[in-house]
Amino acid sequence: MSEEKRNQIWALVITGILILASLVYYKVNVYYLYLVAYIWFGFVYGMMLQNGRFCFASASRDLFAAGVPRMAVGILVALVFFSIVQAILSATRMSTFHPAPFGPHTLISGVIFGLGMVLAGGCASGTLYKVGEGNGTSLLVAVAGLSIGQAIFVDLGGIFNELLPNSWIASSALKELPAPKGVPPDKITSWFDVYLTGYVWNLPAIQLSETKTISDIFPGAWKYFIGNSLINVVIPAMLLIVIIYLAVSRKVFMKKMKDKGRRTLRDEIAGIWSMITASKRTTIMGVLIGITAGLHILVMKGMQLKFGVDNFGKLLTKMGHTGDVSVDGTVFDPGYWYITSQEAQFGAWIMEKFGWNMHDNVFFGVNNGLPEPWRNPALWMSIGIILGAMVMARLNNEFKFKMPKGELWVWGLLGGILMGMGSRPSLGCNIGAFFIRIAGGDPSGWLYGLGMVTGAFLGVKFFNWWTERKMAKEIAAFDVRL
Amino acid sequence: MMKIPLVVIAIVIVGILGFFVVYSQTTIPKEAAGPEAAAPAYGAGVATESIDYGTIIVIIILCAAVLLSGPLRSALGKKKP
Repeated sequence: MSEEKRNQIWALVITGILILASLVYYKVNVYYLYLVAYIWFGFVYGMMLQNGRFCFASASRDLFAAGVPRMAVGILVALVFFSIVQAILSATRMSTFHPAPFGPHTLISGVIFGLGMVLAGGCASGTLYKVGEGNGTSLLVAVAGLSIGQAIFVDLGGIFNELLPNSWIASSALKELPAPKGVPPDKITSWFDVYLTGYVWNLPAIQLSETKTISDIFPGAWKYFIGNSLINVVIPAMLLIVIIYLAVSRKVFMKKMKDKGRRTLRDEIAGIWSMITASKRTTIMGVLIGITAGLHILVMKGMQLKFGVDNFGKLLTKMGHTGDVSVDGTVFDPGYWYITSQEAQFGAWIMEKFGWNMHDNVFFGVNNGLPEPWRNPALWMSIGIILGAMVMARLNNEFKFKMPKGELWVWGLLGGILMGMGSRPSLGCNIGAFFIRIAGGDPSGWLYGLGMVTGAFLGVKFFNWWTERKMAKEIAAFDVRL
Repeated sequence: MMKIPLVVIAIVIVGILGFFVVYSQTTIPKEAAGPEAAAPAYGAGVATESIDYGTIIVIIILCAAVLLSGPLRSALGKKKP
């Protein structure tokens, strides 16, 4: 049997298994359709990410190291489309989006994440689709770095608690009340618990449509389209596209033009359009990802209204799985595309099997719960991404299992841990803290993006230095042998 | 050859996502709902403020017009080197 035929059969088998799993969930309880929706949206994200090679780490690396803007432009196109769909959903009260606390922690977190993703060779979403392609280094990043690394990161206490500012400790102590009025004192044990309750929870969350200025000037549905979409996304995205064009693509485009006369505005617009459409595959996937992410929100909000809940934890409780949920009766259920929190839950689940108590903190014990992996909706979304990417990679004959070799072990592990450390303090990664937030009208997403690009720039510079140093050593050794 | 399984999978996905869109936006008759029968009526808890459908429709038409405008695309396309 040819390789191509074998890949096609694999693709159909994987899809068939997911259909079967969905039917089994439905048969067990209709409430599980909520979880099944996450699986299939994850599956579609995975297919599109793999087909469009959508990766924020590649976007930074290509732009800074090779001057190729393809992926960065694709991401901006996706943002524009997603923001328009998000605005429609907000205007029709069908959005599950909620803005995040705004503060300098977002920027710092972004720098750490950006550095980590370049070292790891993929962002949070990129890592998952590369696992689906059979990349062993990405598997190492996802399991050891993102999952276990994050779980340990949020549960560290002891000496780390000694380093916390007194103002955070004092503010955190004020929130110590029995659930659901406050946080049970026995759950504030790690440095991250104090950071969340004593610092992050005190910060304001901003969504442009809900600010007084925007809602006063633009009444009705206009505030979503003008505030969240036009001001927070379309204008900044266009400005960035123009900056990228001027810095990277303009020179090449103008050289190629047959007419060597004076350049007009029309020529410049044609140049920008040419840059956007240079890679149709990425741009089309950007548009589709934006629309699918919006559709995902519509479905999850509809499911919540249908079942009369605002979190899957309530359904798990109704089904009797009370051990899965937090003291507030919730589990991690973002209601849209999100990555990293569910990986942290998976890491915590593994650590608990080794006797580490992961329920005694705010992140798992109060906010996100710790469901069994097969009852974890967001984790199923990540599995869906991996399987969707695997199907697409099989169909494109691009699937190949590759074990990490040599220094890739170090980069994978270090990059994964940094990505985990860069996503938890900001409560999200390149998807949850950047992509979703910006499109939803939350300016903190841009702050995270600025940090991420800075971190990625530093990572690219570091890798360039490392590679040159390594090559110089190899050349010197070669000369000595001669 | 590659296209046949891709088309099959694409049809399956469109079908499944389509099912979820329809399923999530409609009510199930209570007698057939099983565990859902105890759930509040569809839409319970949604803000009562009226939805500005007029503006939403105008904006969607404007966006579609910009995206689909042939003259814009062809005008820009002609300038490609």
